[in-house]
Amino acid sequence: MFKEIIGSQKRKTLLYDAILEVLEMLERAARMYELTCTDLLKPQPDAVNIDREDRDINASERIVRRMVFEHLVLNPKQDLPTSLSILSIVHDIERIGDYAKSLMELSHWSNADGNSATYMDECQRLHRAIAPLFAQVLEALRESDINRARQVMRQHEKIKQQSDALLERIIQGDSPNNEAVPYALAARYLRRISAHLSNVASSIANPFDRVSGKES
Amino acid sequence: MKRETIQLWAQLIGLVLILYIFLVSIGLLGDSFKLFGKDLAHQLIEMTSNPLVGLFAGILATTLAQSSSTTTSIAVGMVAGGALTIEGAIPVIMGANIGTSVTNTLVSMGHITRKEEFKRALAGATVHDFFNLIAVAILLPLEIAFGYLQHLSEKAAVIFQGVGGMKFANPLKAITKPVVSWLVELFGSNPIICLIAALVIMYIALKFLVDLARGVVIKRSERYLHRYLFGAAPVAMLFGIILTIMVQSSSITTSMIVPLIGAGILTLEQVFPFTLGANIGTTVTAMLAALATGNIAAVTVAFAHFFFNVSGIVLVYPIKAIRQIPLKMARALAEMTSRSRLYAVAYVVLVFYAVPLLLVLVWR
Repeated sequence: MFKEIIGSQKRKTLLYDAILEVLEMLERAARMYELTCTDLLKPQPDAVNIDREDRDINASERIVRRMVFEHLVLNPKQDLPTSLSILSIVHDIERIGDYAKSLMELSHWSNADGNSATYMDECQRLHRAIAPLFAQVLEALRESDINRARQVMRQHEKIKQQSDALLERIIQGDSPNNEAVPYALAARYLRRISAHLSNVASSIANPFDRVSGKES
Repeated sequence: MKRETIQLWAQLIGLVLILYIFLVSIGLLGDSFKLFGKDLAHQLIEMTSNPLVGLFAGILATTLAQSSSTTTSIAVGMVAGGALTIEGAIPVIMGANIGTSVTNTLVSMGHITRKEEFKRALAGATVHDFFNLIAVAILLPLEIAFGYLQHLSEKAAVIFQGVGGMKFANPLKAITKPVVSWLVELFGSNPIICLIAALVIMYIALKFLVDLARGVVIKRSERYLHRYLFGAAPVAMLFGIILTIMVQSSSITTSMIVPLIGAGILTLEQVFPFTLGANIGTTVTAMLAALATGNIAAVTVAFAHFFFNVSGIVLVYPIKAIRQIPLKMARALAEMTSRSRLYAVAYVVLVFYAVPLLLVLVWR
């Protein structure tokens, strides 16, 4: 659905601008994720950048909502499913920004010198599994590529299982709370980021009523 | 050629054709009043010699037709046909300005079931009403006392004629005249049939003209709306002028922003200059109609419409304390509706229908 609107160079509507803003938001979220997770649970030097990116994402969400509303007021019959999907997508991206920021905050609060190196490795593995999803979702949005979107959704199902398994091990392990809690939260946040990316992908792959749902 | 391009060209050709039909209807209107002879002209002139009758007739006609362009074009056609003096036409045009603001107020009623949203939407819509009411309250007494708009418009019309403006009007008259003459002949030079036909053709042509212009312009204007309506006041005002000229209807341009105000996306302060721009933009229709008649008195009336709206802005907008008056009035009415929404209904019925009808009947 995005491809046709982006491709329509002659007929640039507010929806065209809104989609460009959405893509920019997702790129910003990807940058935040990268900054946050390069050394998961270690104090990050780029906290200021992450804060700024998060504020920009929040501002973009408001701009996109306004654009979509204005578009629907002036052209109510045009691109209704796309307009509603965009509103759902920006909400997901805004949540990704929030979770990325939470991961950064976690790194400030956590005791990184503990004895939970295994959990750290597993969190890093989760992080590495999620990182390429950003580029795939961006590509799926730009090209309206249903297959790529479905791949993201399937990948999320795997990440979800890995995250749940990690969480179970943390809960059942014998690490002290001050070490276990940050890793448990990190596993959860990473799972949520993956889920929101899957939601965005579902807006390409699924019918409108099943956006944010599983692959249909 | 792409389907979209073909569609656009078809719409543009349709616009030109409908504009032509509209100009023919103005010519036919003027001719039909000439056919009625001097007796009717004298009666009509006498009736509108009371400016308040003209004012309220203008309000009533516009609220019933839901189009100020129809009222101002009729006034222009009547002046061209000798059935209305310039002096009598000016209050009618002022009334049309007030009457046209009923449309966006009615649009705001669409939000009536959601209290806060309705409050915002109603305030956004009625700020246009209150501005027009204030402008008339100031300028009509001035006009009655000094004839200031008439003198200014006559001077402008003379200058317009002097710089060859009427020569520009000649081709417009030349291309419509044969069809007008043919129609008069077709209707057996019967003034009543000619008048009815002119009014029907004008109403339909204006309706199609606005609908088609809306289809062509509004769809393509959303990015500009987003960019300019949130910008500085002069930019928003200029945007209101341009958009209304293109759509040929201030009702359309002022109504389309009501849902944005209702949703809280636009503030009263942001929409106010845009609304004032729409007031100026809508004067172009009367000017087109006047040029088609090729009659200098009709052009004078069209100038009066323009100067009235510009004067209103010059009087009300620049000084903050005065500018706040219509905004405060709109907010006060909206606040009243939060106690009972019947106030809104009563406001529309009284200001736009009941009071004008009553006063026209009493003073007639």
